[in-house]
Amino acid sequence: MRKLKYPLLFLLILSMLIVEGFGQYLHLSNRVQLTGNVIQPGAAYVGLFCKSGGNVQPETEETWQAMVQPEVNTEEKEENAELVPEAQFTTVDASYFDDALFIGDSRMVGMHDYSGLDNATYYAEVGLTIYSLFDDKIAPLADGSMGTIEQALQERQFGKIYLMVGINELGTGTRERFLETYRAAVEKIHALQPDALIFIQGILYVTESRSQSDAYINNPNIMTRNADIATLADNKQIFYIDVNEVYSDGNGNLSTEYSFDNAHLKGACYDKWVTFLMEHGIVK
Amino acid sequence: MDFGSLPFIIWFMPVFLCIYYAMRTEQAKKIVLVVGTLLFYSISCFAWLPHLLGLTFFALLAFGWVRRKGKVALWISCLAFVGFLIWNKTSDTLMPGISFIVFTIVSFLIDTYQKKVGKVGFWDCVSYILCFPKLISGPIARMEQMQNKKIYLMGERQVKIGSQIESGVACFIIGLGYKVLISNQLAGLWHEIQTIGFVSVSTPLAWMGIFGYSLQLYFDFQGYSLMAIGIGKMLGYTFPDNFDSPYLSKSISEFYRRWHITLGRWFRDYVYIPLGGSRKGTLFTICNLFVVWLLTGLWHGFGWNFVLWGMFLFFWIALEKLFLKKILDYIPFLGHIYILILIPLSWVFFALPDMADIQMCFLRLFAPLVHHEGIRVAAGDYLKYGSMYGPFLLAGIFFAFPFGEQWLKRNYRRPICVLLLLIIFWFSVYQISIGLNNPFMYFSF
Repeated sequence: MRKLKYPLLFLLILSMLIVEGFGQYLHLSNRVQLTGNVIQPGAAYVGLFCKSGGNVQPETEETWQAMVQPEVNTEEKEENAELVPEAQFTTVDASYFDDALFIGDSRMVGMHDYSGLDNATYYAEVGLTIYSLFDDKIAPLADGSMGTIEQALQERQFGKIYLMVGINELGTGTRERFLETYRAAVEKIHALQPDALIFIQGILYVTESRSQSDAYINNPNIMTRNADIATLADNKQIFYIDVNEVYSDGNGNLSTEYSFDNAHLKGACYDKWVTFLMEHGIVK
Repeated sequence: MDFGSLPFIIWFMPVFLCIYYAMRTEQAKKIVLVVGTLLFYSISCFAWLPHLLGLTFFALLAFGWVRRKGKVALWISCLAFVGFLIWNKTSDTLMPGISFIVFTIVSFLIDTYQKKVGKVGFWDCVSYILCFPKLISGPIARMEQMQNKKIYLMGERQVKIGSQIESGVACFIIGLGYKVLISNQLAGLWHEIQTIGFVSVSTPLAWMGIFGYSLQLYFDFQGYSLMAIGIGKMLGYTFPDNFDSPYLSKSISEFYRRWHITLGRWFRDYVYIPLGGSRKGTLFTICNLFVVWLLTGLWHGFGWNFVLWGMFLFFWIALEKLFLKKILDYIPFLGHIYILILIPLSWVFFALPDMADIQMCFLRLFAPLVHHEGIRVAAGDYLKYGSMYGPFLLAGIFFAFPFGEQWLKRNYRRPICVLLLLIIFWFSVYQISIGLNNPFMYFSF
């Protein structure tokens, strides 16, 4: 075999040509699209293709709307909401959470690390969404392995289940799809845990600066989705609580005194959340 | 346009190199470099292009003036350019590259006055300033270093061009890997610690954090510098190195001869030595050091934390000059331990603009000694972050030693090295590309 004169250069240029060609093919055949209309070097498309192992569409409202079949049953939508009774919250203490389960995204991971409620159980992971809720293996099972939440809920019964997801989904999927998936998830959890109280937690706001600079992750969107999931509460076994009243700056934003990165609470601030939960206990 | 962006690596550089080497004369190549630089600058920050052109124009006038009129011209020109720098730094928006452009110009003016520069043509001068590899963040190259270039023409010495480009590519890939695979990843650790809030961070995690930050800062800057030097090599220029395994130093004086070398040399040659350096006795030396470190601190930012940073370093360097260095030399390993504790601590001032944060960080670092109780510190938090960032910290420690980088730079013709460099390159490109579709970049909630 003839020795290459400039092996690094030759192989680099060759690989760049191949990747560029393949990438532009992916782009032109619409198998991979990026947000924005600017054309990118082929490597950008190839990278995303490799990561998702297949078709990649930009995760925008428009695309989802085109793809998603109307899932909402029109009858249900038009049905007048039956009169929902007022929730009768009482104050409880830490032992209330002995049989509590917290499910959620990075905000719940923070709860696990910094709330001090070590008697509760947590199935939480950074990046968790309502769409991946039952797929990700984030719950320890009795045999020591990591299983899905569904598997874990089949093994063990809880007294109360707190659910908090929603911020990751703001950049993907429509409002309707989010609500319907959330509704289905709550129904599934209820079916697996018929005696458990389910607390739907409103999505925590982001700070004003984040809200004003982001087209997807902003507080008006969060408020809209919170209003939607609040309708899932029947105040008999499913409740809606919104911790934003504790951390808000008074203008519908997360107060900057509680956050450094504009989206997560500082570790020292979780005690207010715990107090809030203790003031919103339900005792049958 | 960032060196670590896909359009630059995959489109701009290859096309630029083809046009550059298609030119038949040295002068034509310099013109291509200048045009390329203007295009590069326009893409990044078109709004500042007039200022760049203005600075270049006045710099050219100043060169001629200093050459003819000597000292007075030198003082006025330097004050004008430095004045512009200070004005820009104190205003709301910073012109990208302004510091390095002004330092480059001032160094040339002073070198011209001191007759250190030989005959230079018009395009030599223009391409000295408008040189995109080093325009935005250095290394600060002296004119004499730019003149020792070996630019070859196609056809003639074709062998050397290929070899030059390949050597530059190897250097560039190492730099890219440093930035994307080590620094950008480690940046997550310091960010997470700040998100938690220092008051809730355990002492081991706080130390892990400042070590991580020390490595992050080094690999970010050295990565950028290697990319700049690599591109320079591809074009036939040998830019000076900016770092020389600084964390292996045994004293802070030595550290700052091995960290951001071209800036240190600039301050030494154009501020410290003109002030008298260390030749006028101990008191003057200490005063000169004070001035240099005050200016260095302020140059990084007009905040009290940067002043404190400069003064912290000045304090230890002054002590070293007085007596500490002898002790450090005498006891083996003491110098290394001294550096590996003090430098990360110095970065605390550098990294945190808020005085309250600095105070809290120090309290947490020394919590057992000062009996400081944090608020809601998660037990074992360092284990969680240790396992997340461990591999990157280890990679960082490995490459903080010179061996890895030197081996890659020297052996880029060997098959195993070629394979490693290609893997580093494509893995870095992959990391950049998966950040593109996500408008929230690395911040998944």
